Amino acid sequence: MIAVTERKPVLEARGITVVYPNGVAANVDVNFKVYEGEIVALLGENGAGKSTLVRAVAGIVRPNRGEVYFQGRKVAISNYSEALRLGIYLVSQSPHVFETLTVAEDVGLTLNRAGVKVKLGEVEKLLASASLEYDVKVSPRELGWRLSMGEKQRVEIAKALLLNSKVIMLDEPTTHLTPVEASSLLDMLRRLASKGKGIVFITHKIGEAMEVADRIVVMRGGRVTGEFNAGNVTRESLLEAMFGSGSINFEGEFKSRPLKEDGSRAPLIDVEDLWIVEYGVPRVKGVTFSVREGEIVGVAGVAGNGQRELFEALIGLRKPVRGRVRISGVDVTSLGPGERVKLGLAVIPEERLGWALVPGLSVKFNVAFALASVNSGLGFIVDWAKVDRITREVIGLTKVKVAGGDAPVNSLSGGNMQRLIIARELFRKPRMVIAMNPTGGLDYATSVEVRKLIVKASGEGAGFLIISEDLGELLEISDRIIVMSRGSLRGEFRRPFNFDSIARSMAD
Amino acid sequence: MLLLEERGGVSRLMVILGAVTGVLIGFSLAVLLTLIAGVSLAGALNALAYTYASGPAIASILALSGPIACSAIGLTVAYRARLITIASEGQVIAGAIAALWLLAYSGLKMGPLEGFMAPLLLSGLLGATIGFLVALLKVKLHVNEILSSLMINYIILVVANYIIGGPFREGPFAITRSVPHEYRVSYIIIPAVTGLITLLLWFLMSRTKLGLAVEAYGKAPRAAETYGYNPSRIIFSVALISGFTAGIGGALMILGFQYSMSPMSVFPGYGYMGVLVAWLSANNPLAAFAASLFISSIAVYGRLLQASGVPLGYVLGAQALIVLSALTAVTLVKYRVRWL
Repeated sequence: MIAVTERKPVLEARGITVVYPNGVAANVDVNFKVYEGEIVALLGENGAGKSTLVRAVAGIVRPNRGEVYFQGRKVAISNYSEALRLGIYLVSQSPHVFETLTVAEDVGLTLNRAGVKVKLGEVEKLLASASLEYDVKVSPRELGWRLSMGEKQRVEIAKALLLNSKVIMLDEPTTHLTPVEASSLLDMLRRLASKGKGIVFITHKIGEAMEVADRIVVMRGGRVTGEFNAGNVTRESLLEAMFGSGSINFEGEFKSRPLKEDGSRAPLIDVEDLWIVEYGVPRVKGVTFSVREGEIVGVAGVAGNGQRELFEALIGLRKPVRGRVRISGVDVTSLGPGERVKLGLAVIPEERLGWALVPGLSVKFNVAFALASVNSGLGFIVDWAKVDRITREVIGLTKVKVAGGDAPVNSLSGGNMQRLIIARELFRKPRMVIAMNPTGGLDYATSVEVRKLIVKASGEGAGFLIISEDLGELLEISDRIIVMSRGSLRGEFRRPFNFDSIARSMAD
Repeated sequence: MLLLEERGGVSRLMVILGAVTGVLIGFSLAVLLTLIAGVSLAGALNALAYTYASGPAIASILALSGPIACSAIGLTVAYRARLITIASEGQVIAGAIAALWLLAYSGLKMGPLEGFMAPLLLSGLLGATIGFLVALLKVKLHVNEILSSLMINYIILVVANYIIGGPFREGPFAITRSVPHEYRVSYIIIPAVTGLITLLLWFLMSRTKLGLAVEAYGKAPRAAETYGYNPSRIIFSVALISGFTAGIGGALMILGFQYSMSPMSVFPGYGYMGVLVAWLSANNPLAAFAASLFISSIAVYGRLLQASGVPLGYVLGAQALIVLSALTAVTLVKYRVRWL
């Protein structure tokens, strides 16, 4: 501890504030430093402001306020080339390596950008020596498109080394890596730190941060909410800093939900022997199930096992080659989405902008267009005053944080978009709801809120079919879980769920 | 690397001021170009002053704006639904021929009101029929509408040339009969008609369910379909609407200033100008109305320059400079330029 405070930071950011043109304050008065030879983990949920902070430090985003000190000297970094010249390197989440260039050409380009004039032959020699010194194995003649994500990251790290960068910042570097690649990356970071580099490691995974970092800085909502020495930190204190106090015990929120007895209730969605074929390949193979009134049925499975095709077929965007879909007893197999929505179906797609919402338009437009197509009392001529009233009601339903109905829908955060979508879909009092990954990409607290909304609506009689990659979510809120693997149903489970047997059938 | 960064929070007034500034700079550049072409400063300024401050020139601007505006306003609707048709050119020509037939060849005697309304309706319907064809090809056979509408334009061009030089020929030259004087309309009627169409389509787009559907489908087709709008129906609607208005443009051309037709090789391409105007106005019908007056004024300015002895190449250059500097100014108002 004492040794750390006596050292001088190699990089220090003071009072960084970044407000994006859409009014989102991504960083608010953030202080942050990195010492020589240490690994700092920047930990936080999506949207916490981690990427913005490192991008501001690297001159990619211009902060509205704040100062950056490098090796004790105040510096004004107005673009990324200047950051490179100073010795600050940022490896972004998807590394920028040109697909059509060789590794040596790509590295040479970056060196030139940083003002280091080298010939291609020298680059190859330099790369070879870097490979020896730090064990950064990259082949200089390989073309960019042939590199795996892990290899591209190594190329980026090699560039940082050749530039003799003092600070290397990595934005969620393990996201696209296999477990083996990830652990070899962490090893390399430790090696780099031991040679005196300052490493900034952005992650949203607590375990990873605890494993690799010397110090952990936690961000939430654009602010630093905690700073810990990795040696003596607990998982709970990190969770609390990430999500705010009191948010940890949400697990089990829904345990006390009464079990729904079925059989007596009529099925709202009834799927019978559904087959979907794409380009000659069967994606969904003879799926049969039903969802009853007031019931939440979860579809579990590893992504890419036919769930998306099933979702599209159920809402009417895809025609099955065989089988039958009934909604409220009506055979809708050959009907389009419009007819299904009119039968009382609400749809919550996984993509918010572009599928659930129309980008570039106002919140009230997004409420109006989806409600006007069905029995909502909005006629051919749209009464915008009425839309305003409905919009206020919709916003109030799930407490969407938005300035008003005229605000562009793009200015909402992911969580608020999802609140808006769910509120709009529930506003039409649907008989059944089909949702896909309803909490994907949302922070924990918002996810819990979304789940509460779903449980509440099911209590009022709506039937839910929830296709989700998040098994934990399904275990929490479902009455029944069906597992999909390679296009077929591999089992049906009822509460109380047995995690192991569900997980086993997912891998089937 | 050159970067354009959106400024955000730029008011509409700023954009309009930017456009006006750009136009003024453009005119200065145009004057400079005509000086290089060998016209005296007095002559160059005179052409400019005459365009915007003389009765005959203003009458021409209003008249010419008719077919341009009719194409453009309809296209704003089609483009909002991402139906990138350019059939407006053929629709204007077809509409003109239909109106000419009705008034000069059909032998029907009509009163002043029918003599005005009937050609608009007939031309509009013919334009809509062509639009229907484009939509049908797109919906049923998935033919790209840019290609099909371009090809349809060529077909109409050939057919029009045949009609003008064949069945409609009067005398030794390939020129048709003229619209009888009693059916011709004053130049002031033309902006009244296009203004009315503008308001109608503005209302349709901003106050009706069809407007919601078009807007949603253009920006997020999957969202529109998922929440209950039928894509085919949207495509047919906008194709019919834009075809109808462009057809009316052809009738206005015949009733308002052209009166007769000669081979299409000398046709100035009002339908294509409408495509340009629709893009310039960011698919806003109100802006398209204003922009067609602007484009039509530049066309008149070009004719006056040519009349004062400026070679055609310089004239086209001057017109291009004006449009380009207006566009550049708007871009600079909306975006910040950065070097990376």
